[in-house]
Amino acid sequence: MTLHKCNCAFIPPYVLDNVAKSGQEEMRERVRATVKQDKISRDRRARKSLEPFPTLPKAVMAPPPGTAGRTVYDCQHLWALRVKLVRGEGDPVTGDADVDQIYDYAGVTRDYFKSKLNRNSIDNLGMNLILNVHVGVNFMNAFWDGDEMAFGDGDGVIFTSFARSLDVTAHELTHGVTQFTANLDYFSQSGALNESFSDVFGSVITQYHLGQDAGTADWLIGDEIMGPTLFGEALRSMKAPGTAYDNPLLGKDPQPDHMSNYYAGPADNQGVHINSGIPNKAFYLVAMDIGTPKAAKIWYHALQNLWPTAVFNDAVAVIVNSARVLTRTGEVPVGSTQTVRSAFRAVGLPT
Amino acid sequence: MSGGYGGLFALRPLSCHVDTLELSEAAREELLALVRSSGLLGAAAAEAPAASGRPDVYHYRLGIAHEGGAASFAFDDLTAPAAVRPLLQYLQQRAVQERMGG
Repeated sequence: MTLHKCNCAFIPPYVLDNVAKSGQEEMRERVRATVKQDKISRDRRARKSLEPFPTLPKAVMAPPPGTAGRTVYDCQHLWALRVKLVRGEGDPVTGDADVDQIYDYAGVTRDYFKSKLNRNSIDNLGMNLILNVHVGVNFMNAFWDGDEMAFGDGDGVIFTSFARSLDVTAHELTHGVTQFTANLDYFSQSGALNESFSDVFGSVITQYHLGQDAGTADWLIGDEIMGPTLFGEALRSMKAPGTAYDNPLLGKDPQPDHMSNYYAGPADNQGVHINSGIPNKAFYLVAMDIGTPKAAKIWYHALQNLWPTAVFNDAVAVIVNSARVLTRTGEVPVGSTQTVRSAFRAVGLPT
Repeated sequence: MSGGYGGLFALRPLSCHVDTLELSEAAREELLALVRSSGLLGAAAAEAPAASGRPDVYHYRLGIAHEGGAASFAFDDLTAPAAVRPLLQYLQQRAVQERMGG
């Protein structure tokens, strides 16, 4: 018998009915919370017939739906999500570093969107944040599945735990925000914009949390999850796309920093993680000029005005218009429109 | 294998080819056990309906050829059956070792 593993093929994405799925999820969560509450009430009643047990541990509960609460599940290295609920909103630390770190980082991300951009969680309606850690065995990935986030432990050699990076957490949560705003198709230029918005807010929120500004930030994505084999490398550089890594395992970072090097092949859903380097660089240039918080305001305003099939030229027009609108309201400084236009020209846009 | 949060191996997918006839008996038994438990030997080829279209998932393509025929399968992190995961894990580790020159 011969067994071989072939090259990855390009597979076009499906467009799913996110609104319906969101509704189902909310219903599922409501039922789950009700069942849990019923059990706790029964337990309490049972205890009342005996002596009180002041030292009984507090049950872990999912937060009520629509409260932007965090719910962390330990997947116990199974290839499944929501295996065991281990920490709900307001619960004390568990002692599991991944559980506690993802709880904190999801909180930082949620609080950034609320306090700086006035967005109430992923859907702006207080959607609860469902976080799965210890997914699979040596799983070297993190993803947003349309309803919730999943984080692997890494293999400890190439990658460490994906749950212990704010970059990664904010990146994945922002995929959810994008789904409920522009809902950019995960394919070709719209997919590269989708990836870029996640990198932008991954970096912005990291800077916010660490008290950095555009000048002091490293603008690297994924550097915290590199294991001992690749320590010192990163997965992307917003400041200098194409320079994040160069090694025998991963090869050379393929990101272009200008439209002249645009990747037009079929791999990576037609380059969603490759061509994202172009709008990433434009954001970096704007942030260096007007500061990261103001640049983030412009990008977030634009995200709410883009649409699923938007391409790079559409994004330039919308982001420039967002700069104009926010300049008029005084939220960004006069000259921001010109800064944005100049930054996109520097990366070869619009074409 | 390619994709994931890092968009890794996009232009040069992580891949390997294993011929059981070239393995030691113990290694061959280990691999055959993984193939059997994956449930893929009797399954129909699944080339197309494998993509969830979701961000940052890895994409996998797997081909199995044996005396009874050959079939190829495509999955991503959301569509790969749990039973197939140990086999994917084995192949991933092997591919990484080969690329690292180990």
